[in-house]
Amino acid sequence: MTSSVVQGRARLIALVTATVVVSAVALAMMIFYAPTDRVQGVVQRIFYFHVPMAWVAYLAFFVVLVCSVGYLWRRDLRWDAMARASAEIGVLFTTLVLITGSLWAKPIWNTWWTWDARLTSTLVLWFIYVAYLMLRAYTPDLERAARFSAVLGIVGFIDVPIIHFSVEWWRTLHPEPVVVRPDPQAPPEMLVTLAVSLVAMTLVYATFLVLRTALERTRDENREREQRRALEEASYA
Amino acid sequence: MNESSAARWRRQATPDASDPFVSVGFLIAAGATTVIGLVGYTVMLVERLASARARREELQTADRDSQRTE
Repeated sequence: MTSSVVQGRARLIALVTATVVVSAVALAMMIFYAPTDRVQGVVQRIFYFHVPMAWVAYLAFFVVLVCSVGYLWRRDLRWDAMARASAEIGVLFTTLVLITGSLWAKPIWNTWWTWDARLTSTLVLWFIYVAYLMLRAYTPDLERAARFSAVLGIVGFIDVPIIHFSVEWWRTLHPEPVVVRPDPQAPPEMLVTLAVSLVAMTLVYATFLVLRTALERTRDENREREQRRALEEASYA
Repeated sequence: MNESSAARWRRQATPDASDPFVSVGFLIAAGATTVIGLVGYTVMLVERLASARARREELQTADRDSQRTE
Protein backbone atom coordinates (compact mmCIF):
# COMPACT_ATOMS: atom_id res chain seq x y z
CA MET A 1 0.00 0.00 0.00
CA THR A 2 1.38 3.44 -0.88
CA SER A 3 1.85 6.11 1.79
CA SER A 4 -0.84 8.34 0.23
CA VAL A 5 -3.42 5.51 0.49
CA VAL A 6 -2.47 4.93 4.16
CA GLN A 7 -2.70 8.68 4.86
CA GLY A 8 -6.09 8.86 3.10
CA ARG A 9 -7.40 5.92 5.13
CA ALA A 10 -6.14 7.48 8.40
CA ARG A 11 -7.86 10.76 7.54
CA LEU A 12 -11.12 8.93 6.76
CA ILE A 13 -10.96 7.04 10.08
CA ALA A 14 -10.35 10.36 11.91
CA LEU A 15 -13.32 11.95 10.09
CA VAL A 16 -15.66 9.02 10.84
CA THR A 17 -14.58 9.01 14.53
CA ALA A 18 -15.17 12.77 14.84
CA THR A 19 -18.60 12.38 13.15
CA VAL A 20 -19.69 9.59 15.52
CA VAL A 21 -18.44 11.39 18.66
CA VAL A 22 -19.95 14.81 17.80
CA SER A 23 -23.23 13.19 16.69
CA ALA A 24 -23.47 11.31 20.02
CA VAL A 25 -22.79 14.56 21.94
CA ALA A 26 -25.43 16.40 19.85
CA LEU A 27 -27.99 13.65 20.50
CA ALA A 28 -27.30 13.73 24.26
CA MET A 29 -27.61 17.54 24.33
CA MET A 30 -30.84 17.35 22.32
CA ILE A 31 -32.37 14.98 24.89
CA PHE A 32 -30.87 16.08 28.23
CA TYR A 33 -29.52 19.62 27.88
CA ALA A 34 -31.84 21.61 25.63
CA PRO A 35 -34.89 23.00 27.47
CA THR A 36 -38.40 21.94 26.46
CA ASP A 37 -40.26 24.60 24.51
CA ARG A 38 -43.07 26.12 26.58
CA VAL A 39 -45.51 26.40 23.66
CA GLN A 40 -44.72 23.42 21.42
CA GLY A 41 -43.56 20.91 24.02
CA VAL A 42 -41.23 18.00 23.27
CA VAL A 43 -41.96 17.94 19.53
CA GLN A 44 -39.99 21.21 19.14
CA ARG A 45 -36.80 19.11 19.51
CA ILE A 46 -37.24 18.15 15.83
CA PHE A 47 -35.70 21.63 15.33
CA TYR A 48 -32.24 20.26 16.33
CA PHE A 49 -32.03 17.96 13.32
CA HIS A 50 -34.49 19.57 10.88
CA VAL A 51 -32.58 22.90 10.75
CA PRO A 52 -29.05 21.34 10.52
CA MET A 53 -30.23 19.06 7.70
CA ALA A 54 -31.61 22.08 5.82
CA TRP A 55 -28.23 23.84 6.31
CA VAL A 56 -26.39 20.77 5.00
CA ALA A 57 -28.69 20.61 1.96
CA TYR A 58 -27.82 24.28 1.16
CA LEU A 59 -24.13 23.47 1.67
CA ALA A 60 -24.33 20.39 -0.58
CA PHE A 61 -25.92 22.38 -3.41
CA PHE A 62 -23.36 25.19 -2.92
CA VAL A 63 -20.62 22.55 -3.39
CA VAL A 64 -22.44 21.43 -6.58
CA LEU A 65 -22.38 25.07 -7.77
CA VAL A 66 -18.65 25.51 -7.04
CA CYS A 67 -17.71 22.15 -8.61
CA SER A 68 -19.89 22.83 -11.66
CA VAL A 69 -18.12 26.16 -12.23
CA GLY A 70 -14.80 24.34 -11.65
CA TYR A 71 -15.71 21.70 -14.24
CA LEU A 72 -16.83 24.17 -16.91
CA TRP A 73 -13.67 26.19 -16.35
CA ARG A 74 -11.11 23.35 -16.18
CA ARG A 75 -12.96 20.48 -17.95
CA ASP A 76 -11.51 18.15 -15.31
CA LEU A 77 -13.76 15.19 -14.42
CA ARG A 78 -12.58 15.29 -10.79
CA TRP A 79 -14.70 18.44 -10.30
CA ASP A 80 -17.63 16.69 -11.92
CA ALA A 81 -17.24 13.60 -9.69
CA MET A 82 -17.52 15.81 -6.61
CA ALA A 83 -20.54 17.68 -8.03
CA ARG A 84 -22.30 14.34 -8.76
CA ALA A 85 -21.53 13.14 -5.22
CA SER A 86 -22.71 16.34 -3.54
CA ALA A 87 -25.94 16.52 -5.58
CA GLU A 88 -27.00 13.04 -4.45
CA ILE A 89 -26.23 13.84 -0.79
CA GLY A 90 -28.12 17.14 -1.13
CA VAL A 91 -31.19 15.31 -2.43
CA LEU A 92 -31.00 12.88 0.51
CA PHE A 93 -30.89 15.73 3.04
CA THR A 94 -33.64 17.72 1.28
CA THR A 95 -35.86 14.61 1.35
CA LEU A 96 -35.26 14.24 5.10
CA VAL A 97 -35.92 17.97 5.64
CA LEU A 98 -39.28 17.68 3.84
CA ILE A 99 -40.30 14.55 5.81
CA THR A 100 -39.23 15.83 9.24
CA GLY A 101 -40.80 19.21 8.49
CA SER A 102 -44.07 17.49 7.66
CA LEU A 103 -43.92 15.46 10.89
CA TRP A 104 -43.35 18.68 12.82
CA ALA A 105 -46.09 20.56 10.97
CA LYS A 106 -48.88 18.07 11.73
CA PRO A 107 -49.02 18.56 15.55
CA ILE A 108 -48.17 22.29 15.38
CA TRP A 109 -49.97 23.58 12.26
CA ASN A 110 -52.50 20.74 12.10
CA THR A 111 -51.54 19.91 8.54
CA TRP A 112 -48.93 17.64 6.93
CA TRP A 113 -48.37 20.10 4.11
CA THR A 114 -49.32 23.60 3.05
CA TRP A 115 -48.41 25.50 -0.14
CA ASP A 116 -46.48 28.08 1.85
CA ALA A 117 -43.54 29.90 0.14
CA ARG A 118 -40.81 28.20 2.22
CA LEU A 119 -42.23 24.69 1.81
CA THR A 120 -43.03 25.10 -1.88
CA SER A 121 -39.61 26.55 -2.77
CA THR A 122 -37.94 23.67 -0.85
CA LEU A 123 -40.00 21.15 -2.81
CA VAL A 124 -38.96 22.93 -6.03
CA LEU A 125 -35.30 22.60 -4.91
CA TRP A 126 -35.83 18.85 -4.44
CA PHE A 127 -37.32 18.56 -7.94
CA ILE A 128 -34.42 20.54 -9.49
CA TYR A 129 -31.76 18.24 -8.06
CA VAL A 130 -33.76 15.04 -8.71
CA ALA A 131 -33.86 16.29 -12.33
CA TYR A 132 -30.07 16.81 -12.10
CA LEU A 133 -29.60 13.16 -11.05
CA MET A 134 -31.98 11.95 -13.79
CA LEU A 135 -30.13 14.01 -16.40
CA ARG A 136 -26.90 12.32 -15.33
CA ALA A 137 -28.44 8.86 -15.34
CA TYR A 138 -29.99 9.16 -18.81
CA THR A 139 -27.15 10.89 -20.69
CA PRO A 140 -24.83 8.07 -21.79
CA ASP A 141 -21.83 10.23 -22.77
CA LEU A 142 -19.97 11.26 -19.60
CA GLU A 143 -18.58 14.53 -21.01
CA ARG A 144 -22.00 15.67 -22.26
CA ALA A 145 -23.69 14.64 -19.01
CA ALA A 146 -21.06 16.59 -17.06
CA ARG A 147 -21.55 19.70 -19.22
CA PHE A 148 -25.36 19.68 -19.14
CA SER A 149 -25.58 18.95 -15.44
CA ALA A 150 -22.96 21.60 -14.60
CA VAL A 151 -25.26 24.20 -16.18
CA LEU A 152 -28.25 22.82 -14.24
CA GLY A 153 -26.16 22.72 -11.03
CA ILE A 154 -25.36 26.44 -11.42
CA VAL A 155 -28.86 27.58 -12.43
CA GLY A 156 -30.56 25.36 -9.82
CA PHE A 157 -28.71 27.05 -6.96
CA ILE A 158 -30.75 30.23 -7.58
CA ASP A 159 -33.53 28.55 -5.60
CA VAL A 160 -31.43 28.40 -2.39
CA PRO A 161 -31.47 32.18 -1.62
CA ILE A 162 -35.16 32.21 -2.62
CA ILE A 163 -35.86 29.54 0.04
CA HIS A 164 -33.78 31.38 2.61
CA PHE A 165 -35.45 34.76 2.12
CA SER A 166 -38.95 33.38 1.38
CA VAL A 167 -40.00 33.89 5.01
CA GLU A 168 -39.06 37.58 4.79
CA TRP A 169 -40.33 38.29 1.27
CA TRP A 170 -43.74 36.63 1.63
CA ARG A 171 -46.19 36.13 4.47
CA THR A 172 -45.69 32.48 5.37
CA LEU A 173 -46.73 29.97 7.99
CA HIS A 174 -43.11 28.89 8.42
CA PRO A 175 -41.36 30.80 11.24
CA GLU A 176 -38.64 33.37 10.54
CA PRO A 177 -35.02 32.57 11.54
CA VAL A 178 -34.68 32.35 15.34
CA VAL A 179 -30.89 32.28 15.56
CA VAL A 180 -30.01 35.76 14.32
CA ARG A 181 -33.18 37.43 15.61
CA PRO A 182 -32.30 39.91 18.40
CA ASP A 183 -35.67 39.84 20.15
CA PRO A 184 -37.09 37.52 21.42
CA GLN A 185 -33.93 35.46 21.21
CA ALA A 186 -33.86 31.71 21.82
CA PRO A 187 -32.30 30.63 25.17
CA PRO A 188 -28.51 30.05 25.02
CA GLU A 189 -28.97 26.31 25.80
CA MET A 190 -31.07 25.97 22.64
CA LEU A 191 -28.55 27.91 20.53
CA VAL A 192 -25.58 25.88 21.84
CA THR A 193 -27.41 22.59 21.14
CA LEU A 194 -28.27 23.82 17.66
CA ALA A 195 -24.62 24.81 17.04
CA VAL A 196 -23.36 21.34 18.10
CA SER A 197 -26.03 19.68 15.91
CA LEU A 198 -24.94 21.85 12.98
CA VAL A 199 -21.32 20.70 13.43
CA ALA A 200 -22.45 17.05 13.72
CA MET A 201 -24.57 17.20 10.56
CA THR A 202 -21.78 19.00 8.64
CA LEU A 203 -19.38 16.19 9.64
CA VAL A 204 -21.93 13.59 8.45
CA TYR A 205 -22.05 15.46 5.12
CA ALA A 206 -18.23 15.59 4.90
CA THR A 207 -17.99 11.82 5.52
CA PHE A 208 -20.64 11.10 2.88
CA LEU A 209 -18.91 13.43 0.42
CA VAL A 210 -15.52 11.72 0.85
CA LEU A 211 -17.04 8.23 0.39
CA ARG A 212 -19.35 9.21 -2.47
CA THR A 213 -16.59 11.07 -4.36
CA ALA A 214 -14.29 8.03 -3.93
CA LEU A 215 -17.09 5.89 -5.40
CA GLU A 216 -17.49 8.20 -8.43
CA ARG A 217 -13.70 8.29 -9.04
CA THR A 218 -13.47 4.46 -8.84
CA ARG A 219 -16.39 4.10 -11.25
CA ASP A 220 -14.80 6.59 -13.69
CA GLU A 221 -11.54 4.64 -13.49
CA ASN A 222 -13.39 1.34 -14.16
CA ARG A 223 -15.31 2.87 -17.07
CA GLU A 224 -12.05 4.10 -18.62
CA ARG A 225 -10.41 0.67 -18.24
CA GLU A 226 -13.45 -1.09 -19.71
CA GLN A 227 -13.49 1.27 -22.71
CA ARG A 228 -9.75 0.73 -23.28
CA ARG A 229 -10.17 -3.04 -23.10
CA ALA A 230 -13.13 -2.94 -25.51
CA LEU A 231 -11.03 -0.89 -27.98
CA GLU A 232 -8.10 -3.30 -27.67
CA GLU A 233 -10.37 -6.30 -28.22
CA ALA A 234 -11.96 -4.61 -31.26
CA SER A 235 -8.54 -3.89 -32.78
CA TYR A 236 -7.48 -7.58 -32.35
CA ALA A 237 -10.70 -8.85 -33.94
CA MET B 1 -76.27 21.72 18.11
CA ASN B 2 -75.06 18.27 17.18
CA GLU B 3 -71.52 18.05 15.87
CA SER B 4 -71.45 16.88 12.25
CA SER B 5 -69.60 13.67 11.49
CA ALA B 6 -67.06 15.60 9.34
CA ALA B 7 -66.38 18.04 12.19
CA ARG B 8 -66.04 15.16 14.66
CA TRP B 9 -63.62 13.37 12.32
CA ARG B 10 -61.58 16.58 11.93
CA ARG B 11 -61.43 17.07 15.70
CA GLN B 12 -60.39 13.48 16.30
CA ALA B 13 -57.78 13.60 13.50
CA THR B 14 -56.20 16.73 14.98
CA PRO B 15 -53.21 15.77 17.11
CA ASP B 16 -53.04 17.50 20.47
CA ALA B 17 -49.46 18.81 20.69
CA SER B 18 -49.90 19.55 24.39
CA ASP B 19 -50.41 15.81 24.99
CA PRO B 20 -46.88 14.52 25.79
CA PHE B 21 -47.60 11.13 24.14
CA VAL B 22 -48.56 12.82 20.86
CA SER B 23 -45.57 15.16 21.06
CA VAL B 24 -43.09 12.33 21.80
CA GLY B 25 -44.68 10.18 19.08
CA PHE B 26 -44.06 12.77 16.38
CA LEU B 27 -40.52 13.43 17.70
CA ILE B 28 -39.70 9.69 17.59
CA ALA B 29 -41.17 9.38 14.08
CA ALA B 30 -39.04 12.28 12.80
CA GLY B 31 -35.91 11.01 14.62
CA ALA B 32 -36.38 7.46 13.35
CA THR B 33 -36.87 8.70 9.76
CA THR B 34 -33.62 10.67 10.01
CA VAL B 35 -31.64 7.77 11.51
CA ILE B 36 -33.03 5.26 8.97
CA GLY B 37 -32.24 7.67 6.12
CA LEU B 38 -28.67 8.41 7.21
CA VAL B 39 -27.73 4.87 8.32
CA GLY B 40 -29.40 3.34 5.25
CA TYR B 41 -27.51 5.69 2.95
CA THR B 42 -24.20 4.88 4.73
CA VAL B 43 -24.76 1.13 4.29
CA MET B 44 -25.69 1.60 0.63
CA LEU B 45 -22.64 3.81 0.04
CA VAL B 46 -20.21 1.36 1.66
CA GLU B 47 -21.67 -1.53 -0.36
CA ARG B 48 -21.49 0.37 -3.65
CA LEU B 49 -17.90 1.43 -2.90
CA ALA B 50 -16.88 -2.16 -2.04
CA SER B 51 -18.42 -3.46 -5.25
CA ALA B 52 -16.74 -0.72 -7.39
CA ARG B 53 -13.38 -1.52 -5.77
CA ALA B 54 -13.86 -5.26 -6.37
CA ARG B 55 -14.56 -4.50 -10.04
CA ARG B 56 -11.40 -2.35 -10.20
CA GLU B 57 -9.35 -5.27 -8.80
CA GLU B 58 -10.91 -7.55 -11.40
CA LEU B 59 -10.03 -5.20 -14.26
CA GLN B 60 -6.49 -4.62 -12.96
CA THR B 61 -5.93 -8.39 -12.77
CA ALA B 62 -7.30 -8.84 -16.29
CA ASP B 63 -4.99 -6.05 -17.55
CA ARG B 64 -1.95 -7.65 -15.90
CA ASP B 65 -2.87 -11.06 -17.34
CA SER B 66 -3.25 -9.71 -20.87
CA GLN B 67 0.11 -7.87 -20.64
CA ARG B 68 1.78 -11.10 -19.50
CA THR B 69 0.22 -13.01 -22.44
CA GLU B 70 1.52 -10.41 -24.90
